[in-house]
Amino acid sequence: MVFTRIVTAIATIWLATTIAFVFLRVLPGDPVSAQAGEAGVTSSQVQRQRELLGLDQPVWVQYANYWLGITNGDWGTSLYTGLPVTIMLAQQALPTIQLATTSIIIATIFGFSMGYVAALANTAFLRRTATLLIDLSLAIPIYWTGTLVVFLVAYMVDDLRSQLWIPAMVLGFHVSSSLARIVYTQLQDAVQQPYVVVAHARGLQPTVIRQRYILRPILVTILPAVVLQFGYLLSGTVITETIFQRTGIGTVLLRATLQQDYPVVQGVVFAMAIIYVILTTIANVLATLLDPRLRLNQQHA
Amino acid sequence: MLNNLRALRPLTWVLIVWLVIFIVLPSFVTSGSPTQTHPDEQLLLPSAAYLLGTDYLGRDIWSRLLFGGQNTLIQASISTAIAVAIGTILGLASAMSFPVLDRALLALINAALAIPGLLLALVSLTLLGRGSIALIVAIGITQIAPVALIVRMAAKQAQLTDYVLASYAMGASVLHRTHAHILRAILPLIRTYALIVFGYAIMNGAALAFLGFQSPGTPDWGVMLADARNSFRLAPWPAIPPGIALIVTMILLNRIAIRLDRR
Amino acid sequence: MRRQPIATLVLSIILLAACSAPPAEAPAQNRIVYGLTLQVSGIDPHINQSSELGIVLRQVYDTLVYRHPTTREFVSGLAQSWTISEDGLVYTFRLRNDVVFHDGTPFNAESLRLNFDRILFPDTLSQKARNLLGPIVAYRVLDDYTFELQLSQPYAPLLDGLAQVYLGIASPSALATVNALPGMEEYNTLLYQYHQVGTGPYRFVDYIPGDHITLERYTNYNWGPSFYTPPTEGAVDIIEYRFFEDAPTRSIALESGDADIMGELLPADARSLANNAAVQLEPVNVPGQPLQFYLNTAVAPTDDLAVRQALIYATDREAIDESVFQGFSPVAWGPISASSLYYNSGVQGVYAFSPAQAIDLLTNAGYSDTDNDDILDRNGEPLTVRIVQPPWGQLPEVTQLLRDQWAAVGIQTIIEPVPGFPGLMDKISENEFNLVAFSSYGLEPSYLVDRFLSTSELNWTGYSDPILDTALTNAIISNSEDDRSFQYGTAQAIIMQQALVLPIRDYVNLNAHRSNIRGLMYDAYGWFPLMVNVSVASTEPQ
Repeated sequence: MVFTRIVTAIATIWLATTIAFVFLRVLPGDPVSAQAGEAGVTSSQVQRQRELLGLDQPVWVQYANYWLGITNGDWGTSLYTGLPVTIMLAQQALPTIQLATTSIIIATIFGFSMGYVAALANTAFLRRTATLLIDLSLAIPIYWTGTLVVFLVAYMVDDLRSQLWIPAMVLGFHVSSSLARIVYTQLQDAVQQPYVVVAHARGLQPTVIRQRYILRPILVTILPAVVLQFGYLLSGTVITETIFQRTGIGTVLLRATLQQDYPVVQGVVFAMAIIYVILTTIANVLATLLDPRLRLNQQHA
Repeated sequence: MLNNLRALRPLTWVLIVWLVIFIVLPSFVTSGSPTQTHPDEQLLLPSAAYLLGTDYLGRDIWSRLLFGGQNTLIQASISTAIAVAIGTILGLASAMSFPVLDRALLALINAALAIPGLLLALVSLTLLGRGSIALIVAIGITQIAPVALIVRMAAKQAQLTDYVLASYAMGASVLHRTHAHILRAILPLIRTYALIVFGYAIMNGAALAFLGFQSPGTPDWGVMLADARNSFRLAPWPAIPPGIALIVTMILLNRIAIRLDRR
Repeated sequence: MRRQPIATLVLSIILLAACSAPPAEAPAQNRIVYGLTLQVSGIDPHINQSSELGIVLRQVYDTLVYRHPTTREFVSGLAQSWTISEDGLVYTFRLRNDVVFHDGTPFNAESLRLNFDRILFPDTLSQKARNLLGPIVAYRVLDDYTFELQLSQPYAPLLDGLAQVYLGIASPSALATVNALPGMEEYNTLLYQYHQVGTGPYRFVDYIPGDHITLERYTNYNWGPSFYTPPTEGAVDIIEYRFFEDAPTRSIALESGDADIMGELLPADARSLANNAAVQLEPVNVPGQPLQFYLNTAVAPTDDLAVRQALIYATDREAIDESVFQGFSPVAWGPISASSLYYNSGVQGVYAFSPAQAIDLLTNAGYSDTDNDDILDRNGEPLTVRIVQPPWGQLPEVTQLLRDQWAAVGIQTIIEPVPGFPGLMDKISENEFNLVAFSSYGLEPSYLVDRFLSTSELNWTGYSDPILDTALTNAIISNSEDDRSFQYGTAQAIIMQQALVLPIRDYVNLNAHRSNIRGLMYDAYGWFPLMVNVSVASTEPQ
């Protein structure tokens, strides 16, 4: 069981990285001619640089070298910045992790409360408002909220760039929609479940019923979803980063792809594949731990 | 199918009318060109000549809104069709085949999911250039793997239902099983998910347009919003119509998806 | 027991958030934020070529000579004086003896030699600095403070090159200590850009790609050129350069005080900032090529002179300038902007907007609308031109206006947008375009040689003309100012007479700064601020 998981995980990482490698090599042009063009760069210089960077070698040699490097902890060197890819990613990882973590916390709080209110609030007005908010969080383009917020908030705070919570609120609100949907649907289902009806009939306190029979089952679905959304946020939220002038993995990936900075793109894909595998595993484990039915299923499988 | 439609009547009709306005009507309703520039009539407020005013290049926002809707919605529909068709085939193939092939396909789907969607989109855009066709493919490609994964999961579950197990016992061929039972069982899910993918396609198209991957000037809600930012301080109004259109479309799709989901 | 995994997850998320809080920064006096606009690919002045890097590094390096910002005369820098031999082949520089690099290394002729070693070493793959040195064949140390350069043929733009930040003099010990990349020679390294050491008024502190560059005032600095006049109080101690790639947010950052100085505002934003007292607009004419399109003479229909000329006649530059650029920049008439040296004002008014003239030219060239589709055609071929359009400099807006203006005279336009430089170069190498937008900057128009000499790799017009070649070559080698002026003037006249470029507007950098920033001025090249002269007034209300 564990063994299969590990093999699958490694296969996923390898496949993802290989797909990216192949994809990048079919692109027209190459990073060197991308740098040339301004006065003074001659074609012999371009050729020389290609040699220095190893881009004149056959693709399969480059591919072998890439994995050879990886096994030695060498993820390659950016063709543009000259920095080792590991250092570049480490530099950019921190702002991304900060933003992703804060956003996912906000999204979870938003999502849960909006879903809860939309499904179970006492007054129709509250329910309607929450539903509208869920709709809006899904429907408003993030660069739109982002731009408006920048316009409105920039004048109120001291240094917009250092304010993590502002982009995190925008992003969190945006991401919360799918979580809210899950909570909402689950709650709607849960209140109609026979055991809940029975519990009501038995005269249990409504708060007890909510905690024990309604909220806890929701965790089964919501937690894995939160974990997966977190992974999505980590892979970069280039628009939020652009609008709020933040650096991060998303911006690095966008720029590196446009510049055809192969080692950096491959590094991002490699790192993302690892994170994806880890997070999906966590999500699966969580789901199994929380849901007895799934646990049974797995033992049979 | 008809039953479903009847039950959903009000919202579905709103969506249908909405789609018709934008996909069919533009050429009849407005005589203005959505791309013609009028540099001397830049950023005009709404008037009889320009129902919604003009943008930075003096283009008619009303025409752009209508033709933009046409582009945006047709584009998103095609990407959705691509993603759902290929995704469903992959997912079903994986669910119905031998364990080894299933594993391999699942690994491929997972690997595709592990690659940031932005990269997939950017690579296809680099290969195909700019413009609508490139965008359609780029947006479609990023949604194939999620569709495949969901279809595979649903098909696996459907395989465990009693009547499919019964058809196994009766010796029905694999193809027949796929067609008759499993496809029918997962169709509602595919339909719901297609709506969700459609929503994603609209939003992602707008996002890529924002990042500059649609040909400049194309009537497209995403392009309109991105253009409007460049003169937002002088004139915020060009941003309002495409924003509202986008939001209404998304809310409609979302509501219908929820209804379908709940059935 | 069952709750544990959830608790652990929540805990780890909170921990992660807690330990990733931004570190507190020590408060510094007069720290300002300068907004850059383009994410640069590298900031080594000897290797890379962007204007963006110069905005920062002009403060870090001194050059042998300087151009005075207003008179544009050469004034002494690290070289106290210099002599040029009669034949224009030998340059001798007498160097200052009181200069010390930021790392304590004394500056002398030997440090110059090591800099030239690095720039000229082939594997350094210098994109611009090498080119500025022209036909250099030798250089040597005559004594501790005398240095000699030898050329194989006269090269008049040499001093102009030596005045540019790309030939800024770096500390030899800093060049030597950075680690060499595996497989590359000692002098060729991309890592020097992170540890730059010069002799300028500001010291390089750090550079995180995509995020920021920090400079700190070098208090010992007292060897600057005559026009470096540091303020007696309120000098800027720390400059933090940050990147504002998203254009609409630039003006907001400036107004809200997140940035103190900002370049390349959107024209519409500059217009609306004009009535904000807290912000002052500082538009600067940047000499060099205007915003322009090269016309490809190797591909139909622009292989026909009449079509090229018709395209220019059919272009309403005033309208483009008024709308897209909000009237901030002068209309351009020739291949170099009016603020450039050796500008030939004879090009002004030629090809003034005249659709009638355009139609005349096209009719005489055999074009007419035989199939009544509002597009002219000849021999069954519609008159269609392809424009390669990069995303920068408001080009998307400009090309859309061009398309409609040209449609009015019956020319059909296909716009081919490219996302950036790689895409642009792909289109160039395919050579199926009719127009491509690109501009180089510089005070001395020597870039015309790269762009229009028939043998140059960068001659995207594909035009070949011995008279033009002669004019360009003579402009470079002649040692008489009058002659050079004449030759450059001739070249400009031929380029316009042959309609090799479609000029749109002179480039104006829409800078702006908070009004408590005083003394901000830009050097002769237009792009580069002289931060040493800037002071911060303490009067601004917080």
